[in-house]
Amino acid sequence: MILQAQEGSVDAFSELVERNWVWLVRFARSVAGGADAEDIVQESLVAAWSRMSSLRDPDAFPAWLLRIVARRCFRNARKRARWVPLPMSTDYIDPAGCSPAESVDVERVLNILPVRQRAVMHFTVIEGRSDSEIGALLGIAAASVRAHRRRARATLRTALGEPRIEKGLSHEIT
Amino acid sequence: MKSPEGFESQQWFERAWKRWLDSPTHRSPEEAAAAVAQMIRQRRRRARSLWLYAAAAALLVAGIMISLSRQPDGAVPERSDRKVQEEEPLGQGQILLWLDGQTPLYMTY
Repeated sequence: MILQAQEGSVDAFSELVERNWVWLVRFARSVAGGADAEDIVQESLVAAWSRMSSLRDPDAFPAWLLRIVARRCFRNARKRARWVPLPMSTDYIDPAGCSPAESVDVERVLNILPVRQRAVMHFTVIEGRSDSEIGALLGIAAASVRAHRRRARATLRTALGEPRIEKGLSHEIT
Repeated sequence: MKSPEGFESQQWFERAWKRWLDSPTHRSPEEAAAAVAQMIRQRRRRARSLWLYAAAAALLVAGIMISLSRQPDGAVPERSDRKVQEEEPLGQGQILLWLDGQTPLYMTY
């Protein structure tokens, strides 16, 4: 199917889109946010179509596709916000008795992290991939993956673990 | 050392994160595939029409160049010919015919 798409079959490429849509959108949601995720993936897929001839190894198609999506997500996330307000309260005593996680606005918490750390955390937490796999997907060394994850966990621990953060507190996104 | 409170919060957060990602996409994979295919076809059509415009423009330019280079000899006298004309005005009863760009034929009647 990949070979057919490389030969110019739009139907074959469309089939590939169908197969890869959900996991790519999940990744884009984690990195670029829910509002833009689907548009980013759609644009990336159209861009991928025009670059199909540059794909040498058909087995590497998912990773190749993800790198195209990731680049767009990084660009979009950097462009979108330098300073993001964090108007939620991380006071975890919910009056409705929900668990703290239920009251957490996931997207706003993820926005605290730099985009690469979001990507590394996505592959670690959501997809359970190894450091070398993540490194290969993002084009960084496994040691860098570990460093990104360590920093991300420390940031999240600070943001989530402290009993109270004032409403409207801003965090810089780099 | 990790604070248990922070560690638990992270676990809660990770669960909430997974739940958030599990929510369905606005467009189904089938809809997304159809939309992408449509965008690709539109781009193809646009690219094809751009090529057609470019080819038509190139043909037009080539046609103009060819027609200029094939202008009939003697239609416009060259500078030296014009000089001849200027230096040798026709006399009474003389006719000047140009056999080609450089060959004048004077006839007297």
